[in-house]
Amino acid sequence: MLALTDRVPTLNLDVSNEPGGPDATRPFGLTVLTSMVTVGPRPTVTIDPDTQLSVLEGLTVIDDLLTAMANSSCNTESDGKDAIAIDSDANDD
Amino acid sequence: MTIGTGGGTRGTSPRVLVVTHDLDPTADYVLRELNLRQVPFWRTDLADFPQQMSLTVALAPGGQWQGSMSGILRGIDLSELRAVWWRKPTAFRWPGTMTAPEQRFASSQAKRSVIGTLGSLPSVLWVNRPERNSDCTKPAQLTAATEAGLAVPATLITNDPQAVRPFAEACGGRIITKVLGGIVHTEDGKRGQLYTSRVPPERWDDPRIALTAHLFQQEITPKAYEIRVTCVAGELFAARIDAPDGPGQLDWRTDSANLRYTGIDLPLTVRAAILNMLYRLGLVYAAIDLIVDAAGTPWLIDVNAGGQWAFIDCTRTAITQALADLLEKAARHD
Repeated sequence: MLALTDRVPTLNLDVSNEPGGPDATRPFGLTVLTSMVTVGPRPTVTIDPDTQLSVLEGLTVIDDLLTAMANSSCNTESDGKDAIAIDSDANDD
Repeated sequence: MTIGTGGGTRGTSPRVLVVTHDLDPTADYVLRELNLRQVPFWRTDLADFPQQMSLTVALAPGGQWQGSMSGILRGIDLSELRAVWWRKPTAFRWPGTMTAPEQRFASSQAKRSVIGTLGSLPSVLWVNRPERNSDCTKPAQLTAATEAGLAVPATLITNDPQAVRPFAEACGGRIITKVLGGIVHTEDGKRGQLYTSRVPPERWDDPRIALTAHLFQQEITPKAYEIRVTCVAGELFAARIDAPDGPGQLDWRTDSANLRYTGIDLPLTVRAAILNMLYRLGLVYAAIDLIVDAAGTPWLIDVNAGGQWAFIDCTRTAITQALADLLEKAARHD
């Protein structure tokens, strides 16, 4: 039986400014929340018109900015180490 | 096949649609390879619609939708479309003055039109269909894994605090909790993670379990190592993950800087079971997590339908090539 979920899942890069609520109504699953960091302004990202690769402040990301994929926020779905981007896919963990 | 300089294929009608957000280095590895192979593609995001993308389609007498999607620099004739790589798109983006109710209406229209039209096209390879990604919930994947013959930890999903203690005791007192969706949570202007965590006995009766559904699972211990298996259209690429002592032993995402990755071969029975599971889930691509216990038994932990893969050095090139091969083969198909 197919789950009645949103059939077009999308990545959510929004950061909520709403603070957490009182303990009594804070779901159990959020008690393990960790590594909270203040989120800075998102960097300027464009797509190269010819190669269609990601460009960050004028530099091609995979050629100029990533010497290794490990330790970047492209490490698994999200490892909390915000080197370049926020990865906040609500559908994958 | 023409070997190009990798500088792009602007001016050539694209046959591959890549749907992802604008900062996706993982996807870029494949896109760079497609450029080298001179495979024409169009990279776009749902967020481009409608302000930077237009859709005009009409129903032909034979029942097929014809027309095009067009961006600022590129577009695609739907009759040319052969593959859609559904990576990590962000949501449709509306003018700032559009009210929330107006946006809800617009989103409903857009989702059914853009995705509905693309989804109705015959003979198009999807990696993956978005509805398959959406349906790959924890309950669905654990069922598919079990039916396929993989070992799966005992699992409880409940919002009844009274249900946790008997389950935990049946698991020998060692249970963990993990989220059913994404591990990133934002609030108060901050971003944090919800890693897999042990649940000690004093928390088994926590009344806040009642506030929503929670997943509890038997902890697989002692753990020998873990495996990340990336599947591309039936090809499996497996990497063993060893975490040093510390928090990474329970959830390796907590200690990504110190992990060791090595290529590993999977037993034939495990390979067959994984492929069977993915067939049941309707996934062309997936990144799968296994825990291997001290007895050598691999346990299915997670199926990430949109999982990342480029962070593992020893398998990155092979997976890049496999994805490029898949998309190129589709693009060359008449």
